Amino acid sequence: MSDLTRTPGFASRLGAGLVVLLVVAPIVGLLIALVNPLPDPFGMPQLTFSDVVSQSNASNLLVNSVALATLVSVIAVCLGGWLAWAEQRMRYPFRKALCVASLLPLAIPSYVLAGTAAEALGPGGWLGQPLGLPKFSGFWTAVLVLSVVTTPYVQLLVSAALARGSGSEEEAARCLGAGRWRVFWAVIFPRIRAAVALSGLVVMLYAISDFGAVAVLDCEVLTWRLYQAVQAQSIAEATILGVAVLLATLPLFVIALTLGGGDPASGVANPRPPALWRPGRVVVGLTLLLHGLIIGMGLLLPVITMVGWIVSGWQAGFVFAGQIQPLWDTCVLAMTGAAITGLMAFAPAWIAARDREQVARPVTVLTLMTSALPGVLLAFGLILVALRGSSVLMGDGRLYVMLVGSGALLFVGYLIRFLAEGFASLRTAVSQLDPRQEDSARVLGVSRLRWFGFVAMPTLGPGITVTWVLLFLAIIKELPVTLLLGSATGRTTLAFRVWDRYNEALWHDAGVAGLLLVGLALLVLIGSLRWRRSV
Amino acid sequence: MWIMALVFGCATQSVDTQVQGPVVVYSGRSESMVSGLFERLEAQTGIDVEVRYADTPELVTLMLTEGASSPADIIFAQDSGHLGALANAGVLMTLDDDLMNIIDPRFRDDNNQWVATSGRARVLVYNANDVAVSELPQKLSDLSDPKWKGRLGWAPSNGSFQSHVSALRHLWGEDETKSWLTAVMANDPQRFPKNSPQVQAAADGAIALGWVNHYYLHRKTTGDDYGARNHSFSVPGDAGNILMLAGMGIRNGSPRQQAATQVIHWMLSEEAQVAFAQENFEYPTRVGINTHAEVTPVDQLHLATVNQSWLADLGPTRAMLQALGLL
Amino acid sequence: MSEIPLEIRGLTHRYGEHAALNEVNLSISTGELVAVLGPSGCGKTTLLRAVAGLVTPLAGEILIGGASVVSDGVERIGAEKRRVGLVFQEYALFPNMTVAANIGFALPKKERDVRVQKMLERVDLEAFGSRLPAQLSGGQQQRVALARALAGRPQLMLLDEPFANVDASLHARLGDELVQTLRQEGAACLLVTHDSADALMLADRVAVVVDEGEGGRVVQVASPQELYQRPSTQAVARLTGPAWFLEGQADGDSVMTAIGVLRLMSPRQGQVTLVIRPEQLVFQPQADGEHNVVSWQYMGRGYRAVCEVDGGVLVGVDCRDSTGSQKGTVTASCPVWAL
Repeated sequence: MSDLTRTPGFASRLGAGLVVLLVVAPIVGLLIALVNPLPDPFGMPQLTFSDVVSQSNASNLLVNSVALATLVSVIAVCLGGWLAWAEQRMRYPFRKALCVASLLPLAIPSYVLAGTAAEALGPGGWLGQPLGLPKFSGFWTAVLVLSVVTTPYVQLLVSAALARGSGSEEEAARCLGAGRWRVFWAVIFPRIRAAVALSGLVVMLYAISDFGAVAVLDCEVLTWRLYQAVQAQSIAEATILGVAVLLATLPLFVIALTLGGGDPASGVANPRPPALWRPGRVVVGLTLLLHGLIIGMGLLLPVITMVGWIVSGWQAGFVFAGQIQPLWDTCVLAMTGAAITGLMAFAPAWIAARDREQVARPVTVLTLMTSALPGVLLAFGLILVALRGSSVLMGDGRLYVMLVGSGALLFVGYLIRFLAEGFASLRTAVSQLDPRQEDSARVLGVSRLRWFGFVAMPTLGPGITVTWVLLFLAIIKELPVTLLLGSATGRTTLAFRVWDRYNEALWHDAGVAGLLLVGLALLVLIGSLRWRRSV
Repeated sequence: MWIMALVFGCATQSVDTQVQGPVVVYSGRSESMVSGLFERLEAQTGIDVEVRYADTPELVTLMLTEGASSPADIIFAQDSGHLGALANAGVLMTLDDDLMNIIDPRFRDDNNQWVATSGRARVLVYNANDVAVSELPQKLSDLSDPKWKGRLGWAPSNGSFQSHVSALRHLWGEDETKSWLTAVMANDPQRFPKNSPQVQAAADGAIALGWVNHYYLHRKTTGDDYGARNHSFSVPGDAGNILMLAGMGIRNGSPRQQAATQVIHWMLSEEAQVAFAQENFEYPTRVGINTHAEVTPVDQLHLATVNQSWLADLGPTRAMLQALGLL
Repeated sequence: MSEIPLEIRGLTHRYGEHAALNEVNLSISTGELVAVLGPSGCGKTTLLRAVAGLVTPLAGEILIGGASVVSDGVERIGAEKRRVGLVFQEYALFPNMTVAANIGFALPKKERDVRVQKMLERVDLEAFGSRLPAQLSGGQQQRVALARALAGRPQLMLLDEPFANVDASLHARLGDELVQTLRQEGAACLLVTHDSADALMLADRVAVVVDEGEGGRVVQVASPQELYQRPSTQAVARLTGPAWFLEGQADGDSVMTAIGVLRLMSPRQGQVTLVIRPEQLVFQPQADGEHNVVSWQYMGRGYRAVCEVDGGVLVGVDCRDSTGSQKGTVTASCPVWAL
């Protein structure tokens, strides 16, 4: 009926193609590095793929990586999905406040949570000592930390999808004799399936490419080995491991995309809000416990620990470094980066939500592909492409220096790194546009462009805001890309401060920078949550 | 801001010889340690310095990758091994003798391609309540003694650890290093990702001995009641007593060599060296500057005789550690 | 003995401050189609949802098939188990399922395919089984919604404004089909609407619900003919069709009005208000007639002469042709009803 309206035009296809080209650039760069490797500065022979693969525990690392990513993803989807359900469909005391607070761990970088948890829950920590806990490190602690950090993301996306549910369909199903379970699986789940699958996929990509938390917690996965390789300047080895990481994510893609599928966009003029559930004591108790876990471990623990650092530093009379400049720099970089990334993610999200399967699937895969690439490899890949491009186009490194110095390379780096998060969020929003509204606009003689500007954009407003907020938060927490590509712009970020001071055991400064980072994130997050009401 | 840098970048690259524009320093040394020094340098010499902070290995790789297009003028490395690697790759320019003569002969590069600006000592950190001074090992090889079973800590993934093991391979030979590592592993040491948590763990009593760099302790100390202390091995020239040097080199082909040389001069000046010693608790390299009162003077460190390039030989070390399952 | 499909006693409900229903009583016999007619906001949708089990009314009792499903504010049988078929105003088809899957939703696997096929034939959509709802027109969707509700052989059908989204010209035809389908399935039906033409055309009985501020109440329940010809209040009269009201003095079988002496349907005495339907009046154009024509309206099927009678009261008279005259005499051609 409205197929013609829904097929995206040339402009959006072009935009999506452009994004895909950019996204593939670092891979090209890394391939250049593999084909033309730098001589090892320590005179070691160059490693080949088979060398790396046959190293004693290479398969062990791969298994660990996949296991970590899968576990974290499953846990985050279950917990985040539950919290989304609780937020939209349940009634229990303090529901609104708790659900907002459960999103706040989005403000905490994974390495900060890992670092503060390792300290607080370790044998000498303020929690670990009285409880007699063993050393906080290893695989399972990484699962815990990464799950806590990613659950809010799932909650955010699934909650948005649930909020637009049509109560009439659920009531119809009930009158047809469907019990609660059947109503959920037949009517509600199809509406949120795409959001669940996409957010699960993004979490998987995040977990498999995480650098900071696994380094702090000494968890033996591919990225941890990659970190070692970079430390030993073996970029070739790092590249091979990076390729291994990408290959490890391919089956995960297939699974997630099969589950995701297309989602039905049915618009009802005034969707009746669905019936709310007042659950029994056990369910409420479990939900409150879950809130406690996420808020306690994901927000309170790191904040309290960092305050403790600051207090003991102040008591010891240590000098505190100024943090205003990094705060400002962080804001500037993150706001610009989030805007650019969100903008660029729009075209692929549009295509993925509205185009034919044959076009939507490959666009989704290609767009998300490099999100599994760890930041350091991404940065080097881009540098290599820029260098090669510069020498080809201009004969020397001027173009490269310009790209780095102007920050262009940095923002491309952010784009590639966080495209997945922005894409997932935007796609969910776009897929909820009402085709009947479009049809009536067409009939009224409104041009495509006007419809887009005056009808679609306001509807997408909340979704776009959520996307920008997610990207902003992701960028302020980001480290490796900022370090390698951002320092040339002369800006220092708070994330850098935390990392730098933590490395030098200047915990009081790390605490200040960390709290500022978290405070900034909380400000933006809470400030934008009122938009969510209408998402 | 970056528009300015864009325009700036264009402008600076279009002139070949000595140009205006900031001296670009790739610093593997932490911002917390050196940014104050650079500010003072700028105020005193009027030279504009633009410092980019990151991990030393990444910066070295970056310089190698960028090659002739690199905007870097100076590399300020956390340890000498990487400076040696850059020198071997022909990236660094030969420095004048008068620059080299400022520092202690022990801390010079043979080929005059880099200078050491300060040093950190490898030490054992121990829990003062748990371990009596008389019990402490006097040689590094004593760590394999079974009496330390379950009481040790180390950080095999840390750069300083790997540099030290590289030195051991040259001091003791491959086989003896390997068997020593295996013996210590039999004592079931606790793994740490880096140095600073070991100091805290020692103070808390979670471990009795940790193998770290000396200055973390001084960062933590709030008084005599702090539970941890540093210990250097008393056998003169023992392989456990190594000084790890941080230093600077100038990129071959940098258009700002004069200004860069001035920067290095300032880093070796009395004022800068005193700052390294008093503020950072490090070992100064300039002849005649004293260490901080709380830090063991360099003569009492009983240093082993080590060629700095040994510390750079990380490749085979990583291979050995991987084969042993430590990496 | 067959149970009464639906009985409602004393149903009362409010949403916060706003009273929705006020002591509503109603019952439906086997195979009967009862329409609930009333203006928007009178509470008729609440009534429907209460019967369906989507709302638990604060007071009153509902019995479906003889079994009490809710009483005194306590739900005894939930919506899932009531075996009523509900067709929403917006159809609420499951967008991700085919037409066949929608219709077969309530059915056990064994009989699903056969029954779905039968229902598709019933509603004339045999070829559409594998389509998705988004590919259907509004009328087709309505028929699917109907088939879906009927598939499970409910004891009672509930329809919420079934023709609200359908073209006026199709009402009659679809209405016929609806009634036929319901009769074939033998289902009793409660139909809620604000459209009097639909109610009068389809229903066996019509209940008029009006909200006078205290919640919706059933003002009159009767057959369509009775409701139209003998409405109990002005509101009912207006709801059921075009009506004009004249004051008159009644004396037994006749009444004195501004348009002369008229016969009454039932004997009355004293001051009465008469309900006049347009088809009951006749207009005689006369140059010296006592009634002025205010305007002539063209209605397609004829003309309406709007005349002023009795100083200010307007009545409309339907005529085949327009004579364009300004004056004439208005008389009644049959007995009229007094409220």
